[in-house]
Amino acid sequence: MNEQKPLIELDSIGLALDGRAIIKNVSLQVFPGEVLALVGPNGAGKSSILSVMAGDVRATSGTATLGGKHVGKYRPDEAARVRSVLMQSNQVSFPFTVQEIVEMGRAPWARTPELADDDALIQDALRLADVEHLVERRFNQLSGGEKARVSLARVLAQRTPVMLLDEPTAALDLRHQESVMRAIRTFANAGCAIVVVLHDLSIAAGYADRIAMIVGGKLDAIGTPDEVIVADRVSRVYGVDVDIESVGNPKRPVILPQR
Amino acid sequence: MIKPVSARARVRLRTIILSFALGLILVAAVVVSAVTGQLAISPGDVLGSILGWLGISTALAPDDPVIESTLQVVRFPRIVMALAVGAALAVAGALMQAVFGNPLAEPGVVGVSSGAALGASTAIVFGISASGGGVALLAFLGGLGATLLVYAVARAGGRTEVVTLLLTGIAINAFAQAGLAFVLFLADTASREQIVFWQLGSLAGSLWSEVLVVLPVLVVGTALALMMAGKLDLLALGERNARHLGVDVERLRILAIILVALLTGVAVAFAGIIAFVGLVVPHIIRMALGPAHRGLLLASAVGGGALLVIADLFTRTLVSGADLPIGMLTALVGGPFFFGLLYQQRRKSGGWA
Repeated sequence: MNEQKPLIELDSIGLALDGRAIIKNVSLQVFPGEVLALVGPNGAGKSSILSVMAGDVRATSGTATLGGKHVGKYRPDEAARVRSVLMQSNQVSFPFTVQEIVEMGRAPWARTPELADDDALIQDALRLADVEHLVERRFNQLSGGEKARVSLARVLAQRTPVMLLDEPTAALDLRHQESVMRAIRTFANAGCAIVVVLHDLSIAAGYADRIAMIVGGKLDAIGTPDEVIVADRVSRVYGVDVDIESVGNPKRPVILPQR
Repeated sequence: MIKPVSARARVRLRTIILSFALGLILVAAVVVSAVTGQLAISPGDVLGSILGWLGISTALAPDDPVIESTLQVVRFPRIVMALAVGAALAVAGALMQAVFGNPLAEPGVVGVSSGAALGASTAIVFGISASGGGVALLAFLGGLGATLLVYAVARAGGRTEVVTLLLTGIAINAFAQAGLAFVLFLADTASREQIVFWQLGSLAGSLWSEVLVVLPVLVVGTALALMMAGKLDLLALGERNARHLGVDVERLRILAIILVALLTGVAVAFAGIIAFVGLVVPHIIRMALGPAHRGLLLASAVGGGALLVIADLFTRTLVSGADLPIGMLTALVGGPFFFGLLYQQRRKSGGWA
């Protein structure tokens, strides 16, 4: 894996907002075909790291590159064909239908040869996010979990080599948590580099190739689930005593808080 | 596979039906407006006169020169002006709503019309007329100033809360009214009267020379707005999402705002303040067609034109021998409509914020 060039590279990134350091000296790489999970306590700076990768905010220090090019050097339309972003909360100002919202994911590809695949890719995205039955509904009338899945479908329809997903499973029921993570896995297996912010450590351990633990804006640890999700670290970072079991095939760590 | 296609087909069908209906209403409104007035004119004469104007002589051409000149000098320019002003205001409304991500944004409510009115009255009082061009220019600048002010003050995160938007509107309207009062104070009796009546909004006495200023602005403005339609759709997802989908959000916004100021400014310069057209028309179209901006902008242009031709017809005929101010009429209908919208939104979101 590491013989390939990274699609995402952060080199000693620092970010300060209003004089407060949000991210401190974070360096990491994400390679094609890889799912990297960002985990850590609330307010640790996970979403900010995602924003730096997306080019939404400029890092105060260090460099961020996508596909070998500085994120700030992309034109907006070029960037939209390289990276897609799922934000934590998604609202829509006017009563657009689900079908229309997901079609918007194809907007960056207007006037390109890829335009021809639009209908198939939209269907694909609708199916993977399990929102096919909602296409005629208005986005504003959906439940929180449905909105989240529709927004994910929009991001999947964008078909970019880099995907940045902020808590895609937060509002979802158990079945959809699993199906969404499987869909994300499918895209990674097809060669995408995916960064996903997750709160559920067991989900992160179950689906990510590597996990980055972010604490107080710093990279506390990065490595395989077995390397990062260890009882000592989780207890220290979250201040909760946990037991960690290894289950499934292949074996993956599962976190059990001591109650 | 079948569902979305049928949904899209249904939207297309609805678009076609609505376009036909709007076109029909428009034509009917134009014809009725042309034949109605102190001098009754037959539809045949109207058709003949239009054909004659296009260079086609027919047996239908009116024999009576009074009829011919009534149509060509008085009624036609007024009707075309009503069409153009209505279309400009409706397109400006739809654009403004897209930029603010709020269906209650409207040039009149938010104070853009007042800003334009202040600019135009200044031009009238200080005689910066320059054959109508000065009034239009200052109206545009006043409108632009007001729009930029609302834009700077009322937006947060690409959206504008209803309360903030309306309060900003109140502030800007108050400021513009103060400016207007000062300008009125400075004015001599003649221009004072001119401004007061012009503020109430009227299409009476529209000239072809004025129509020729409004029409190009309308056509170019609407065409540019239509070119931005797809990006305006993306803006509904919020500014960050729009950027993630490749939209240069700041550029789009600034362009849209300049268009709003241009369209509103030119309408206000020649027709005075005609409020609520930009609110009512896009809202009805959105209910019928959905919020996608390509259809919305186009249908709003047609619907706005039709609405103002009809409204203008009422102003000329409700009280015989008198020309009521059209701005009064649209506000009379638009006010309750706006109230209804507010009430609906408030019930839906359970509060003002």
